[in-house]
Amino acid sequence: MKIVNDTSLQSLINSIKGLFLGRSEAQTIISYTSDKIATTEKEVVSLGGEATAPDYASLPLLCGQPMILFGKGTPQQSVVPWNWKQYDPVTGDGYDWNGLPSAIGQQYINESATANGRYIAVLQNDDTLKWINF
Amino acid sequence: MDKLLTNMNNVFVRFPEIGDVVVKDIETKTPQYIKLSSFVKTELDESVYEIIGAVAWREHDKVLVVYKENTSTQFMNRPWLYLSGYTLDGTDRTGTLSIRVADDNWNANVEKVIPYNATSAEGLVEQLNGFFEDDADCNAQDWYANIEEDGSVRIHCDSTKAGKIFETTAKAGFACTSCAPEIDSDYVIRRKNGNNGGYGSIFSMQRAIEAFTPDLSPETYNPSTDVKPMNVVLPVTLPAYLGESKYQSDHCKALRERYGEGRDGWLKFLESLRPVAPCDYGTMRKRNGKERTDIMAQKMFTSRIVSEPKAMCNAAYYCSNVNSKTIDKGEFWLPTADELSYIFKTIEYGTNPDWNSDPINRCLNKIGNTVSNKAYWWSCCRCSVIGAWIVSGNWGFLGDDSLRSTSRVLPVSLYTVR
Repeated sequence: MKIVNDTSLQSLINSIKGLFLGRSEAQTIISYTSDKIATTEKEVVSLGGEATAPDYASLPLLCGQPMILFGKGTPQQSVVPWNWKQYDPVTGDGYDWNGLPSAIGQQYINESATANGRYIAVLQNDDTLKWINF
Repeated sequence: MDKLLTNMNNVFVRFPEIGDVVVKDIETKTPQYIKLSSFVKTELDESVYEIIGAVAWREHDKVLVVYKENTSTQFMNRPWLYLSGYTLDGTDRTGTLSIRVADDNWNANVEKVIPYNATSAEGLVEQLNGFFEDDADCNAQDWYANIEEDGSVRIHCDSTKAGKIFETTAKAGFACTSCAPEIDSDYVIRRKNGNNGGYGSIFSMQRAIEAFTPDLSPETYNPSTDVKPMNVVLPVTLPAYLGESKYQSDHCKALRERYGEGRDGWLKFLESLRPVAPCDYGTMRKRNGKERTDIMAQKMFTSRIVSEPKAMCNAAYYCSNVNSKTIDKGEFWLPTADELSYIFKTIEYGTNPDWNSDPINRCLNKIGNTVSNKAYWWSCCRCSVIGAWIVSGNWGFLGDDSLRSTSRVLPVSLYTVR
């Protein structure tokens, strides 16, 4: 077994610290770097959180809305999909449903249909989108 | 953090924030970012780094950069059309070009019957130019024809001298395209309230608040019939929203029920008119500003009075031709409506007279030209035959303006953090 001499180790740490004492610029760099690492870690954690969330509302989004929308009826203004994020005046998040797609490839499932209840958003010549049943 | 940074100048960061200074390493041309609060221009070694611009937005590793300089110019100074319908069989023929003229105060089209006898496109172009030179109206507007690389016949004129160039048509032996057919257009902006209307989506909130706080009489902004949240296309003035306008009775009860009473409710209502971004529906789908700008910037012309090739789309040309020791031509472009929506979320200078009122201008004030929300700013997105989308310095919303108009041009680029 190797015996660690605590006194010697502490002495070494103090020596290293001493190298930086009085060097404010170096300390600032260290502090700043630590801060940036923390910031980057937060971003990574945030990204990880999005990727691992288990419910439909947290699936990857297309233009801020779920890729697959679920509503009881054909896609129309009066049938707001239950997982659509409506505009929240308090937080400013989301945007109101108007019956039309907001992203190419967005899908809509008519939960009331027993057949032909699946729709996908496609681009039209005038740069607007429409639902096609497929 | 800022307190720590006061101890040292020009701190480089990997992930910049809005307003941080963008520089490029002169040797490697790689972009780097300096924390705005630490930036001291006089202490930057400009033999090593070139100052490029300001960070306007960042989404993960993508950094939207506004160039340090901006300018004023027309969107399109030389509109063009492609002529067809002609017959190159060596017999005497005519074709009619129908244009607006100054003598008539640009009120109605005047028909110009152009005789020709040609067996090749080159021959036709020569005769067209002969006619344009001899005809007083066409000469005054500097109409000119040329053959493009693909063999098509292009005709064009000086938009500053042709008041209604976009009304030009051809018939009776000639046909023509619409103006600048390579540049597509659409007139749809999806708002957070669900409306897919045309102009009126708020891009500069501070400007909109200032513009729509007073009691304005036009029904455009002061409705004379009851409005529902999703039907609102344009901002409503504060007094109209509150039902207290001296010009109209109360038609905004449904808005107050949705967004709340008082000025706070009105501000939330204005927020509902912001564009949905990103969005694939309509104009906001056009997110490739470089491609759109390059198409326009490459359009060049000569004419009877312009012997050296000049740009036809000045705004795009200015952006595409930004270049320096570290910037290659084509690296910057005229911003899309989508990009302007991110930039103008931050801009407060203009309605606030202090250059330091927002981080982008705090940065630009140290390195170049500032960006005011009281000026008009071109996007690269066309909205109609005659107009392009513009951030209105008068109203704060995305408006349309004639391609012939002169407005501010802010080159942008997108860098990736490495």
